Amino acid sequence: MKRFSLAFVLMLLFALAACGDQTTPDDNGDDNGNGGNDDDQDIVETCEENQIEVDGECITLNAIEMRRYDTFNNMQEVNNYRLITTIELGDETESFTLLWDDQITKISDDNEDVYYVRDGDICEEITVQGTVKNTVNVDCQDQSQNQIFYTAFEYDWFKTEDGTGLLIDEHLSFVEEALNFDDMWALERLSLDVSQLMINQMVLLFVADEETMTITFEFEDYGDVSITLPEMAVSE
Amino acid sequence: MKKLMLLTLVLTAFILAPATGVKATYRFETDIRTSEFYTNNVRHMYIEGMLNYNGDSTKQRINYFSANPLVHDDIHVVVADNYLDYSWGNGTPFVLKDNIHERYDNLEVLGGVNGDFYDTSNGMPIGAFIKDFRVLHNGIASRHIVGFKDSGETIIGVPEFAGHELVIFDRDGDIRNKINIDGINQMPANDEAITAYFADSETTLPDDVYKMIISADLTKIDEGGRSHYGEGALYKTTEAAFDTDMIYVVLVGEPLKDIDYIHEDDTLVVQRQIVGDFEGVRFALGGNQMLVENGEPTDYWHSRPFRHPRTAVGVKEDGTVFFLAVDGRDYPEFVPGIRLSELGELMAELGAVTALNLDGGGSTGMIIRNHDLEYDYVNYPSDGRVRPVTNGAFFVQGSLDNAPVHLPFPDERETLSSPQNIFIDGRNIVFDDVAHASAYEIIVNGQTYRSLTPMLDVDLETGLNNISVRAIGDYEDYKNSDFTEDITYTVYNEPVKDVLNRLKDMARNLLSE
Repeated sequence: MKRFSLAFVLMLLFALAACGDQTTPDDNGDDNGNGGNDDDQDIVETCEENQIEVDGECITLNAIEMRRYDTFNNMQEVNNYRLITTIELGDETESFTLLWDDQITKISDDNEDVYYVRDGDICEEITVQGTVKNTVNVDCQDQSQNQIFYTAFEYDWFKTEDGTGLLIDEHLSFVEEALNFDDMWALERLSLDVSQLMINQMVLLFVADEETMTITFEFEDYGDVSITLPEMAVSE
Repeated sequence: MKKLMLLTLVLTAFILAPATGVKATYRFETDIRTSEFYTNNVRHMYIEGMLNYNGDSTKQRINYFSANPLVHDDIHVVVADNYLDYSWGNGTPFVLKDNIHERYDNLEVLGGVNGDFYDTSNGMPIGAFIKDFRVLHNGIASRHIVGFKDSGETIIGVPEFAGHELVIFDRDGDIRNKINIDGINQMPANDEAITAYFADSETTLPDDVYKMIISADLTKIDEGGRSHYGEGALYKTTEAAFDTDMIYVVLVGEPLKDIDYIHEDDTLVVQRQIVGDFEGVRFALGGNQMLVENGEPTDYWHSRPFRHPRTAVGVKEDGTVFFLAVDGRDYPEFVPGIRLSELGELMAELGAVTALNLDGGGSTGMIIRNHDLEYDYVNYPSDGRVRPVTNGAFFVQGSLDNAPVHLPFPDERETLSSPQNIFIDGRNIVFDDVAHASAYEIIVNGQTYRSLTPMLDVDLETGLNNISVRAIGDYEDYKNSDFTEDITYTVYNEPVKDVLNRLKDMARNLLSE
């Protein structure tokens, strides 16, 4: 009986010790957690570096989860980048570039450059084709769709396969609804690559009947984009 | 069905009604198998009946096809052929129809008939043949032709020709100048004369004679030497000796030295100059015997006992043009065909003020577009197969190209500047107004559009679109501008367009607070 009691005490101590060390291996099997344990810390008041507070409780994340958590937080703070969007549909490949420098956004394709400049609740849409500029006012406050869907991502919406983050199935519909393509297109897969706690690339695979469409979003030049508005002839 | 029966009764009554001033012995009785097809302002009737004429009673099977280009602006009669570039040729009505579609983007063939008699050895028509104002063949003098004007007016008669002429068309098909040609295959008689040499001269033109050589895209030569036509671009001028050849038309004469206004994209045409009633006719083809004149059947042909399948064209008082294709030679049943005298009676009964007999026999052929937009050969070809013919006349729906305008000569008009700042906004192509422009011409992927304002609402094709624009002058004081350089504009397919639109939404929302 004594031996049994001793064993029970040892197991209890071991279990408590394990609770204090919040480090968990990441999806790749590496242990990147800090592993520190502050015996004096009040758990509810301040979470560990590898923890996040949710409803007043600290939730422990593994390294990859934490990286995604930080990345998605960072993406909400971003106001300057270059986004290259490539669409592969059958034999056809089209590419569009979106630039954002906080005050101005610009979309370029083979036909034209379109600039948006905010003025109160109204945006000026300036379309430039060759030497011609055409300006119209558009609403900047279109909240009907959440086109900037990546800012809604949560760290636990993803799983990791072969080192790549994959949006888990139950959240695919969120992106589908945000992009609001024709109903025939179903989002089959969304993969995510992160670099330096910022989104590096997203690849979305859409399927319709026997057709597939791959949309690749590549984010570049965070903080380095500068847009100059064009000066040229005005279309009547 | 009621409409059909009523029409049958009306037609029967109409045809049975005593004709005033015509043979009392003429009667035509339709039976119940008459049918009618009316669409796109053209009417087709199939009529079977017994024809009683001077005691002869014969079964007749007739296809009647009519339209009124004088009333319906979108209906025209065009002629078609299947001629080779440097000789003649023939084709079935189906082939001729295809050639119309190939030549004219904006015309739809509704149906038509075979045309002129022809030389079976090479397909050359016997009478005159005029296509798009070009006199490709003047034919045998005194031969009747039927001509179709842009106004919708149709005329039947014997064309008058003067000598030959050189017509210089600019790239728009307008006429820079016309110059008389004083002879064919002969040297100029004096220093003021210009002559033209064709391949049938089979000669070497000597040096020390000023020559303007046209590189001919097509030449048409009557082996009897009666008719010469050549069309092409300026190749070179020279005084060196030159061998005539089918791919050249060589102009000779001192006055040619003064012609310095020909552009490289001009078209030079050497042709017979048509004058009189047929001047300004866009299309014409030949026939032979006049069947009806002044509303009365002619009586020239009463001595001709021969029954054949026959094709005829008639013109009514109100401008209606109608074609008749009458079966014969007992193919495939007992229909012997129709005599010219009977055909004249029938054409007059059907309302013709004038009517002309076209080629018949195995050549008689009528095709008509059906409800499925396919073409039916509605008569029975007496050869047992569809015969290729020299040319044909067809009802078409759509708009004809503009008629050539005779430009001022010498041309000292000011050239308009080309439109600037072309902008594509969805379906709209817009650009800056050009002072003094009367209209604008916009070419989108080779298709030409005309607009009175500096914009065009057009359904651009998915994919890459090439667009160029020019200003059109007033033909008096201002010349057309040059076309702008091509600009390209990509229209994306729907999924790609959706992605782009979503990015634009995103670009706006990124700026929202």
